[in-house]
Amino acid sequence: MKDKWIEIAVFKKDMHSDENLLKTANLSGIGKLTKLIIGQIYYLRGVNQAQLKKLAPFIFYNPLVDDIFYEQIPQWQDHIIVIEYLPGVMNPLKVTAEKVLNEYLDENIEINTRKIFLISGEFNRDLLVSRILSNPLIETEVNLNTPIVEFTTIPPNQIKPVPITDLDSKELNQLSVKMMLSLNEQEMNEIKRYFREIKQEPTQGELETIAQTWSEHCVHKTFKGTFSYNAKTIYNLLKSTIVSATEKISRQDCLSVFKDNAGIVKIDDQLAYCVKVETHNHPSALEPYGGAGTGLGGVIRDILGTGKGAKPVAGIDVFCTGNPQAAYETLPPGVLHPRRILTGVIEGVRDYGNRVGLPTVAGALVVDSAYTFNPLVFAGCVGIIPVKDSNKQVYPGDKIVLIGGKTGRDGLHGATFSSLTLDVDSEKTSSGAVQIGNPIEEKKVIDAVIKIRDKNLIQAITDCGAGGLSSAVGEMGEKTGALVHLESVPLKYQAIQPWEIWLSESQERMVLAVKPEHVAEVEKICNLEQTEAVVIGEFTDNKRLQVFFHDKNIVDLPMDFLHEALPPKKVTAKSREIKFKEYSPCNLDLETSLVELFSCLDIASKQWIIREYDHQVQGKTIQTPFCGENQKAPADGVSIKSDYHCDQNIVIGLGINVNLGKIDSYKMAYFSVEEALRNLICGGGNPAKAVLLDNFSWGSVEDVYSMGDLVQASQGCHDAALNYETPFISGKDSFNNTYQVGEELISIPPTLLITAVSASSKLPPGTVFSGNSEDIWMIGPYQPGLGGSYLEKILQQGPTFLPEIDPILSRDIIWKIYDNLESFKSLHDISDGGLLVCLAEMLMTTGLGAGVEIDSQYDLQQFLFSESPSRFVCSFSNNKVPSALIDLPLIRLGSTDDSGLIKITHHQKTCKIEVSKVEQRYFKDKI
Amino acid sequence: MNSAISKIKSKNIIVLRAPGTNCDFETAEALDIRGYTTYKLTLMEVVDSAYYLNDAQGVVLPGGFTYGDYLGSGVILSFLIRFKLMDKLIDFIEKGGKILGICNGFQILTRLGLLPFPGEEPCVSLEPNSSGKFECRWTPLINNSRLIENFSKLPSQFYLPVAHMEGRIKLSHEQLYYQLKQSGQIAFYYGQNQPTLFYPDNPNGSDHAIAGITDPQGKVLGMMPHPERFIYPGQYPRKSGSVNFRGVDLIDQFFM
Repeated sequence: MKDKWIEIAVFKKDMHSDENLLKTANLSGIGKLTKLIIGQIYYLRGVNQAQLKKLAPFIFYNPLVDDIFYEQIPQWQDHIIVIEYLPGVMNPLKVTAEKVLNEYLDENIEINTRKIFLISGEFNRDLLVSRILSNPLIETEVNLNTPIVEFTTIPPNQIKPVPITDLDSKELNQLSVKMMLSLNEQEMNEIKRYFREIKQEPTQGELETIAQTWSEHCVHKTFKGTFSYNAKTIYNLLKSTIVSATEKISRQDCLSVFKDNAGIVKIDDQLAYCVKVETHNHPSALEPYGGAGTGLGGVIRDILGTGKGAKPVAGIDVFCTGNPQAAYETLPPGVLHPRRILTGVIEGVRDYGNRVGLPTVAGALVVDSAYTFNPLVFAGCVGIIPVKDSNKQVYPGDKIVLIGGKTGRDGLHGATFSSLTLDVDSEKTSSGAVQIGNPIEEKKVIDAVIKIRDKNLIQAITDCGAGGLSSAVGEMGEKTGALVHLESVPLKYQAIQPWEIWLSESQERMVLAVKPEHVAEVEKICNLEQTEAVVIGEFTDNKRLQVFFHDKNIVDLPMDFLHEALPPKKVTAKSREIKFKEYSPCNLDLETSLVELFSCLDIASKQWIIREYDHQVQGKTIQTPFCGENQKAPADGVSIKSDYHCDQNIVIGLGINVNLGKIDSYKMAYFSVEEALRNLICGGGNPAKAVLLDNFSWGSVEDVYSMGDLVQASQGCHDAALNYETPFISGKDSFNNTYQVGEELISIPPTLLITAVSASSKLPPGTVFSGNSEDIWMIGPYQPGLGGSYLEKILQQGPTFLPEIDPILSRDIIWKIYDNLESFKSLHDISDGGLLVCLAEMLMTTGLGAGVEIDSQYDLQQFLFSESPSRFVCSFSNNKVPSALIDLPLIRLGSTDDSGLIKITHHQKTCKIEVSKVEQRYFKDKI
Repeated sequence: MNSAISKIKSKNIIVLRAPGTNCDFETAEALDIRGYTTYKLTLMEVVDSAYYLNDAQGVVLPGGFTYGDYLGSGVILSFLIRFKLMDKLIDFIEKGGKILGICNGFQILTRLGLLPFPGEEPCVSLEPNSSGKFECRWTPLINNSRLIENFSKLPSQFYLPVAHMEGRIKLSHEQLYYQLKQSGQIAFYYGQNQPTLFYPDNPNGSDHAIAGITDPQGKVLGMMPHPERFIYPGQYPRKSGSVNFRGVDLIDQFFM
């Protein structure tokens, strides 16, 4: 009876509803559910029922709290919905449990799983299934008694040429669209030219390899393109702005910039850190949970593949989404509800980051209806690497070793898909580009790689990211050549074409270059860590990329064509005209305005998100995302120890300013750099050792104004980097974050995330006041201008004129604050929402109040709500202002008291704000 | 180098790893800086080479998501331990060895029945937090341990971080609470001054605010909070008032 599937269902004895899911369902406008009970169904084959009954209490259910049902489910009169993964989608439970049971019981046991929902209430069933209980891209509803689908058909290995040499430009374009190559006419023609020259037609594998290698994702072709901007020509925008700033600053401690997976910076003679921030926008728009999870998984592997392997030690996550409170009816078809997106990406980061053991320490959230169609997910990772391992080199004769998970059809076309416009059909056509990660596989790979590195067995390493093996091997072998045998690649199932193996983006895989004599030892270490290492080929000296499936040639291309023949892209860009409105003060109620600002998810406490992330795993976290005795106030910068025995901390500060991006991209970039540095020093970071990362998420490359914004933002980055002498060490761009609705192409606003990182041994003073009678100071110049502020956003006014920055003064302030950090009792930078928000954040959670007097020369509204840069609110130990700071613009605002009120006096009029009232709103659950 | 490194103790501690263990490094670090000799070993290594366990005075089951917790927290590793190592572990305890389970390790010890009564059927389980969410926060703890003599050297109250999604202690029956209380097996409660059932000081809704328990001999300790995440003074978030306690003290005193 072992060849038959045995079905067991497991439910909690108390049969409670899943309250979170119930709430999500009921808030989604699809009806009213009263009960939503989740159960798990397992299908097992290879054991008989007697064996299973013996095993089950130890592995499939806990007799203390669960009930188990053999070949049946509990009595239920109402709705029953059963969901299963589509064939071929990663099911981590199945993979893990099968492996363990088979290895330890020495049996051939197969497992399949389904989720079962017992539901009561009135609702739209289709919407509940497709929007709440499953994602049709990876899951499907089945009837309870449907047999398990076997995924065993083996199609013939099709290796046939794709004729292109006789096509005209129009036909080439059509082919590019049909095959989802994301190549333009000029690029297709270059490929045609090459194949005409060698008198052959390309194989599908070759075309796909070229498309991946030439994708926006892999070579940043827009950013490196030739820009015709207004009347000027800019050759290679990236090089002439951001990279150029780094070259001019020329910092000796930057060991590797813009060439490896991540930039590498020295901490001391032994240790270095590396940082990378990636975007994972398109996949997260379609499958938020899987998209965010694999986004984080991908950037962790970027770090693991930096140098000869860096250990991932901290995670960064930034989300931009539409308004989670938006009504369902306002959304066009094909767009997931922002609530679904936001909860999905949070859970994705939580489940991947926590499981892989990476403390997620830094992050931000931007909510704006402009992101309803194209949500953005930025995932970052910091790694630690011995200085001696920061360079890698491949030599001919080195074996190509693939480590980690098995390969399936997951994520085909990820690199090219990431540069396509989303539309109503994206859900269908791009389903291959969506994946579910297996963080435990990743953890095993990390442990194995670090062990292998520490035994000096790695020549070179990189991750399998977008483009899969084609990009990884293609890049590693660029200077040598590489020969790959695809039949050696371990597969999830046989139903896969050779070119798909070559292009697959299955997660949790790394490619290593290992000397032949070290292969056995590498395999041994991987075996102990319970992951797989397989030799799939070797690096050669013929400078060709040659890929075989048994004796059939899948790809044979010269490396120089692959890496150098891409014609430079021509980009047209224009600066846009913004009409500013006249500023006129209105009579605001301060308390109401503050409450409204704290209703913005961007400004309100993010603890409902942050506490879902383990930010202390690895035991090295120093400054968590929270400050104050109650650990509830927001920290500006965060820090972790670089190593257990090293007194240098890695400090991280972020800067992002979308409101400004809609008005002036140059200022957005400049101010974001400055904000990231402000956050950095508030977290104890040393500006003299700081480095920067840029992440551009942009609109259409065909839109001349969007490209004009890009030019300006890049120049802003360049000028700011030079001013603060902080080099950019790595970056990422994501273009075409656009959505087609009928005739209209909707773009996101220019969005730039700046990450500032620095090593430092200083501890931050914290962002809250700690007692009565502390003098409250503002450091920094008062600059008028409410343009691009949150106040204008909530009042739906503007834009009025923008504040200015004084570069020299701004630099001076940042440097001097850091130099005197020990004198501060509290320090918090003024950013989103302005001075009043900052002051309230420093008082909330302490029970304190403050009396503040504002000089009548200032306009109250601008003084309290302007988001002009270079400013901090602070107090000093013993109320003593250090002499080194007295040259800076300093305004004594007042002092703390125990009133629980913020009393603001201006023109002899005093306005009182109840701290507890705004605090309530600040911490209120928003979704 | 860290000046806090104590002189070498002649005690070997095994930190038992499995795929998905993710607190092994800091746990080993917490032991190393107090002079213990630690071995980070996989279950396979401990099963295959009996001398590791024979030479060890303590075993730590660290935090993490062993085998992804895909079948429930700690379920797969406890399944494997049950069939591969259980007899040896019972033997180890009887010979005076000590076992500490932190977070996922605690979940495994209860699932194996090693807590609260080694050798008996499980009667305590760790269920999903009542908030339905993962909770990462510093929590106040009351030191209630009477069976671990050295814990009298720890403060009567202190703070440690928790980070878990399934940390709500559920006792199989109400009587069990009085039994555990009577025998002094409740090592830690959540709460300031008084055990509390209220969120967030009780981060998961544990029955009777229980945060950690021991076996009747005080040789097996399981706890949800993470002492190994508090190694350096800079990690302590409550800046006012000086505190001598660090999480590593707890681990040190347990194995001392």
